[in-house]
This record gives sequence, C-alpha cells and structure tokens, in this order.
Amino acid sequence: MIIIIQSLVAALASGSFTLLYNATPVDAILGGSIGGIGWFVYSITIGYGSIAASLISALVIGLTGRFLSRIRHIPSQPLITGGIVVLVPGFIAFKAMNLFIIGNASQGTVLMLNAFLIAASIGTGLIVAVAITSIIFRIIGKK
Amino acid sequence: MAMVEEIDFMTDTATALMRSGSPTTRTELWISKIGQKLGLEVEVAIIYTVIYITVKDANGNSSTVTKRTGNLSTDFEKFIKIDSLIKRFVDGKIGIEEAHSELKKIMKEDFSYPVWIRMIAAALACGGFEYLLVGGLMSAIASMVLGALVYVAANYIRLLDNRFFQQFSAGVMISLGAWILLAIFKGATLSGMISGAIMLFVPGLLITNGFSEISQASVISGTVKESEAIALLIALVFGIAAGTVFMGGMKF
Repeated sequence: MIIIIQSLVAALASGSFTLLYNATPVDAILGGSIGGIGWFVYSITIGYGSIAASLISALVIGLTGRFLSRIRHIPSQPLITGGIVVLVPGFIAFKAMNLFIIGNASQGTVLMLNAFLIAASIGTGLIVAVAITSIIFRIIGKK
Repeated sequence: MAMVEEIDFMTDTATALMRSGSPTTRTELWISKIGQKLGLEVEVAIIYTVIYITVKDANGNSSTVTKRTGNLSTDFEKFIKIDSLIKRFVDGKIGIEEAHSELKKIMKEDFSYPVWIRMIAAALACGGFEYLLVGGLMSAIASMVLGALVYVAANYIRLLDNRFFQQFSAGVMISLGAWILLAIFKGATLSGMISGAIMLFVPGLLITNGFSEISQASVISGTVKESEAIALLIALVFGIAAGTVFMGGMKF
C-alpha cells in the first residue's frame, strides 16, 4: 500500500517538475505517469541494492518513454526526463558534498562514488532502452 | 561563398536546439540530416556551448562556422516545436526559407507558464521529493512553501545571467528560509525542509545526461556536463553552508 501511495506522490512530483521546464500539460501528465511507474519498479527492486534498482527502473522508464513518444510523434527527451527525475542522485550528491564541507571526507567519498554509480546505471539503463526500441522501431518501419 | 543561407540555417537550428535543451547527439544527427537534404557534405561537432559546422559542396568548396550558444536552458515546448519543424523540412514538406523564418519565429516566442502555475508546480515537486526521500508530512508541507518561494526568487536572480551565483543565492535563501519556517511549522525538521527545497536546484539530471552522452560517443560534451554539474553542486552547497552560519553550523 505504501508503495502505491509513494508512486502516486512520485508521479505528482515528476509531473510538476516537467511542467517547470515548459512541457505541455499532456506531456507533463505522461512524464508524471512514467515517473510513477519508475518509482514503483524502483521500490519493488530496491532489495537488490539501489544501483541495480536504478538500472532496472531506468530501463523500464526508457522503454515506456520511447514507446509513448513514438505514439505522440515527439522526441522522447521530455518524457524520459520526467520519468528519471525521481531517481537521479541529486540528493545523494548533495549529501556527499555536504559531508566534504563539514570535514568528513571519507564518508563523503563513499557517497559521491555511490551517486556517480547510480547516475551511470541510470544512463546505462536508458541507453539499453534506446537500443532495444531502435531495433523494434526499425522492424516495425520495414513492414 | 554560395552556401551562406544553408550554413546560416544550420547554425541557427543547432543553436535553437541546444538552447531548448536537446541532447547533443540528437542535435548532431539533425544537422547531418539537414545537410544530406540540402545535398551538402556536413561534419558537425557540438561541445556543449560551442558549435562547429563544416560544410563541403559538390565542387569541393568548404567553409567552417564556429558559434557560441551562450547560456543553455531547457524548454520542452520549444524543443518539440523545433523538432517537428526540422522533421517537416527533412521530409521535404517545406522549403529552406519558410523553415528558417518559422524557426526565428519560434525562438522569439515565450512559452513559459504564468508565475503562479510555476509556483504551484515547484511546491508540488519539492513536497513530493521531500516525502519520497526523507519522509515526514510536516516537513513536506514546509518544504512546499520554501521551495515555491525560493524558486520564484531564484528566477529573478537568473536575470543576472550567472548560474553559479544563482545557485549560491538559492542555497543561502533555502537555509535561511528553512531556519525561519522552523518556527512556524512545528514538527518539521531542518534537514527535511532543506532536502526537499534543494531538489529543484541540484544538477542530478545533468549528471545523468552527462553519463548517457559519454556512452553515446559524445565524450567531451558529456565530460563538460559532469564538471558543470559538480561546479553547480558546489555553489549550492556553499550557499547552504553560508546560510547555516546563522543557525550555528551544519546539523545533518
């Protein structure tokens, strides 16, 4: 139950965030729903560690975003941005930098490395999603 | 120089795409496709804020243009409009003159929402992120208020055209605002409020986009994005540290 409430909150937050970047209302709603789906996948896979969970949910977000953008005939960037914004390691990077400033460099390094690995795993997930969908779209286009 | 118009169109398109938040790889792809459509051999390299385009025609005459884009922002509505314009041009539905004048018209327009809608959106985003990342209903409500106010204030500071200063002042405002709101919202925590309100300013998206660009062979552009993200992050954290001096040091 708590996961569903959290996913709804994530959808609301990521939809609003997309709106701040001047997305049209329809794109904001779609981006928000992708964000909600992404958070749902993240929550049920978090048992495998945050890096693996980010990878899997970024893959799901990338696939959903690419298919929806194909249907709406728009670039996938606005929808995918809306989707991954709840997963990006901004808060962890902030905490790490904060630890550096108060002089706790050893813990800060660990957190910063974690933030970079999460960013890398999200990037990898998106790239894999783009590659898979390009192959599928090429097959559909040939028919 | 016979290719003045073509080169102008290509540089304007690349600048417009980069200014509205297009990924580097997509911009490079579009410019190459426009070149193919015009029957020219095009090599394009985009290194974040600088665009290099070399064009070679059938007779072997070549010319190169270097253009700085200035500050980059993200504006999805503009991006979608420009993207569909280029798609129409590449499909051969409109000519180069019509496409160029339409591109200039799109760039002049302002698609941003009224301030009150953006304030509500900022508040919902901050509150939602606080609830997801830290938890606590009272802190979420407090960070909604704080996030909306700081977002609008930082939007005016953007007029100075200095992102580092904008981040720094946003950091100062967040920590001072959190300290003031602590007295009004009983039960909210300082770290909760701050972590919700910073979410609009932390460059998490920039870090992730940088990684995906590096993996798509735009190595330099991606690396530059990473270092900009770190600079912006440092500015934000320094701002918060400067603000917390009034509250007696950091307590996270």
